[in-house]
Amino acid sequence: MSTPLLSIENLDVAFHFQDGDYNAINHVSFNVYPNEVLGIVGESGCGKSLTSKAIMGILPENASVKQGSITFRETNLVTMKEKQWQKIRGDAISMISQEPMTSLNPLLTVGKQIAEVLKQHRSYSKKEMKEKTIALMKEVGLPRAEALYKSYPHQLSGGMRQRIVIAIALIASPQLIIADEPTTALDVTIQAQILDLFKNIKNTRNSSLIFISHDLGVIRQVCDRVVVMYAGRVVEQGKVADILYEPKHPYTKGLIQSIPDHTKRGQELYTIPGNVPGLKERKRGCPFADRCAHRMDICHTHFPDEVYVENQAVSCHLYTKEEVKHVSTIH
Amino acid sequence: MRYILYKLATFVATMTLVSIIIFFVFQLLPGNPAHIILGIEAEQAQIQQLEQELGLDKQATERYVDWVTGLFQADLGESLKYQLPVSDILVDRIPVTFSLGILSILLTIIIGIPLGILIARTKGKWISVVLSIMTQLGIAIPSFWFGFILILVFGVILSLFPTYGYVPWSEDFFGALRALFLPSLVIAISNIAVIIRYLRNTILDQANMEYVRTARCKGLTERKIMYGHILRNALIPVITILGLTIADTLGGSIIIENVFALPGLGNLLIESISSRDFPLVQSMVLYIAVLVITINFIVDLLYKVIDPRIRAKG
Amino acid sequence: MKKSQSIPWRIGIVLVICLMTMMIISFFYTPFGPNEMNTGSRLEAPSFSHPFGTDNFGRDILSRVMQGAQTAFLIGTSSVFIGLMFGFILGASAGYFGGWVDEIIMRFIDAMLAFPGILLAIMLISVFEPGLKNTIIAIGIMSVPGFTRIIRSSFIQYKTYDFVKASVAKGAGALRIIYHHILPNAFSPILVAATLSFSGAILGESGLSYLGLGVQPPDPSWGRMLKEAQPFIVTAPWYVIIVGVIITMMVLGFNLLGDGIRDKQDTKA
Repeated sequence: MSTPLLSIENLDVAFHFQDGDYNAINHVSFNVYPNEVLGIVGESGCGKSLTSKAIMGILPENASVKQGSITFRETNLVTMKEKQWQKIRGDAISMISQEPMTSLNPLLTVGKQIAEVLKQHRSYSKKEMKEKTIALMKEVGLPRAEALYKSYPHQLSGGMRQRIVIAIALIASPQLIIADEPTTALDVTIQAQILDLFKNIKNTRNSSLIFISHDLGVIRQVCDRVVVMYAGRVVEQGKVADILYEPKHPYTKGLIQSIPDHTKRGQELYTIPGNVPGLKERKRGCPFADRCAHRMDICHTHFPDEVYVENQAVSCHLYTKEEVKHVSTIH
Repeated sequence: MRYILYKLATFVATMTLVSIIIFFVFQLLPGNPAHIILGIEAEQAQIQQLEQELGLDKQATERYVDWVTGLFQADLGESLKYQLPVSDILVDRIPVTFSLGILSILLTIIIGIPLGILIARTKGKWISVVLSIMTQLGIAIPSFWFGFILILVFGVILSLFPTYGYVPWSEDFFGALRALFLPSLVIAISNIAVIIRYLRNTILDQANMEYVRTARCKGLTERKIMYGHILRNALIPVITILGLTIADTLGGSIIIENVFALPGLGNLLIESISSRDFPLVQSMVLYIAVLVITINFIVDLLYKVIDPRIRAKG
Repeated sequence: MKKSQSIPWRIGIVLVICLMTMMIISFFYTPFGPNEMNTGSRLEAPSFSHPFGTDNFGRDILSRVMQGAQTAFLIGTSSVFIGLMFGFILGASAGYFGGWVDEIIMRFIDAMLAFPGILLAIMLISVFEPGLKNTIIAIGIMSVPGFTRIIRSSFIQYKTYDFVKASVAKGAGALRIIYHHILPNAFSPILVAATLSFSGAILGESGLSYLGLGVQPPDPSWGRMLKEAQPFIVTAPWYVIIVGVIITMMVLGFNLLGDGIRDKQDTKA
């Protein structure tokens, strides 16, 4: 493939507590290529959002990158100063957050909030900024954009607000857009509309997109490739089609089984037993071991190396051993 | 519209209740007011005449109605001591208290808001710790005692400001400003402390909001995030506190006018209490309370103009 | 983080305990009689025999400050008690019954709040006469609105909780619900309000006494001492300074204590 737009290598992000540092992200590596949509999937508490915050350089006060690199257009973002970050944010990388109800400033008109990005990064005249803003508002599916320009967030519905948030992320035509659970807080019908909007963005814009979701069903609709994260680690990554039809990691299999599906109508929806271990409960070895039906002794002591199985990269002892073939026949 | 109507109704209800409370508290004066006012040696004829003047021969409810009708005709009654209509006496005193109040609120805003921002921005650093100790002290210090100390330091030792008295603005603008500066600072001090602490909390609350993250993701500088986004939101609740501050300022001026011998309402109030000039005391208490209610009413409406969320609801 | 937060709270405790100890000692011992005049030693600067100096009548300021602590604690506790009692009755009725009862009580409370600062107390004292008893009553009444609001909101809040609803459904009586469910939960906000209202009472008393409307001689009070000290601010500045510092310590102590309790309660929640 071509050179990646964004390349994360061996990233560790830790939270600092009184009793020491706890890694919330462990040796995470993945690439984002130009014009692709990369999904990151996993249950909540798996470090998806934290990874995106690390890319934006907006980690919480008590967290920091311990090691590894995030390379964007050949620059390592991790070592950058705040001033340099500010030039990139909103302009080259932008982010769509999961809370459309609270992610807009209640006291500013929505038009101003979109145009603010241009004001920060471009030297357009006021008129040009307004024109561009209104054009984009139309593009993201807001009717009567001229009238909406002057409205306040509370006057809009959740779906419309999310379109505004998306417009904020698109206005400077960034090369990379991170969408963190952009549909989770919305009603199902609105969710479908917003997903359509993302498909549109994918087809019409020259941007790469990182699409974070806990729902593989949503990922399937918009993404080209997917990274599966569990408890701060990447456990499997590859093309969406490959992973969905031939998942390798037991966790991925569990996630796929729990996608609601019309063929399973009437049956109780599958859920993976157990919970994601808390930050302080994580032990050595594979974090999924306690919930895994195929766990072996080695799972409790060593985290497996990433190996290529067919088209995807997997970190699981089932595949690092010789008896790969034997195990895969079990299913 | 419904919001305004509701606020207007409460405004009228509170006004009525306050006037009733004041009126009836003064009805509780032990003994015959005419006796108390004139002293024990007064002659029966004198007492009867005064009783008639005060309307004591009528029923309490009737007197209340008379009093309130009088108020609507700007007739606040007559002072016993000065033998003048109360309104004439107040006209001389109001400008002093009014100037003191305005200056004090200006000082509260000018000093309180920047320091509130500073204390929030320096969270965890020593400046913030020092400021927070100072705000604790500002709230705990008896204001009039702080007045003594300022008189001692700036008036007596450094001779920078006059220690008492008042010059009307029309006579000497800077003289008036100098005379009023220390007392208004003294009145402002606890309000400043309250504003600093309150603004610090609202700023830190707002800084955790999602929209701040959106602003940060736009690539805005911390300065733009603070002044363009956080501060607007953080200042809205501060307006309510400022409303309460105005009431406190009036309350504070009652004591502080006596410390600095300023001829304002507070000074007159205490003077008329010691001379047992009850009609004057009664009218003044009402006047101050009405001011407070009106100001709070205006603040409520102002709130509505500033916050688009409430603006929309009306 | 946690340690630095509890420092102000510890300072508060130390201040309150020191002042309380001073008050308790004053029942048994003061260096001089608090009202013992000595024309030979007027307005003396602090010295070994008079650590805080003497006043314009040659009275020992330390002894008077100690005696004044009794008045301060008496006014503080009794006015908080009065405020709490009436505040509880009004707040509990407003919160428990709601509707028009609530509306009437709250309008009344709003009306009381229209009297800024110590104006309400001044009005009451101007009608009745100045003195220790009326000072306590006036300051107590002044604190009623604050208590009413807090108790009302506790009642409204807990009334909607499931465990309270459940016992209403079981047919538990109003008093029983209040005693078993609402009071234990409302305890700490009320405690915070009581502490802060205590320091408010100290400030209120000093203001009233300064205006000559509070405690009357010969009862010693810190506010009165400041009034008496004011004319000598240039010749005997320590008199003014010491008494003011003592009042500030008392108010600061209770404020820090109240803030500390509130913080603890917030972190628990």
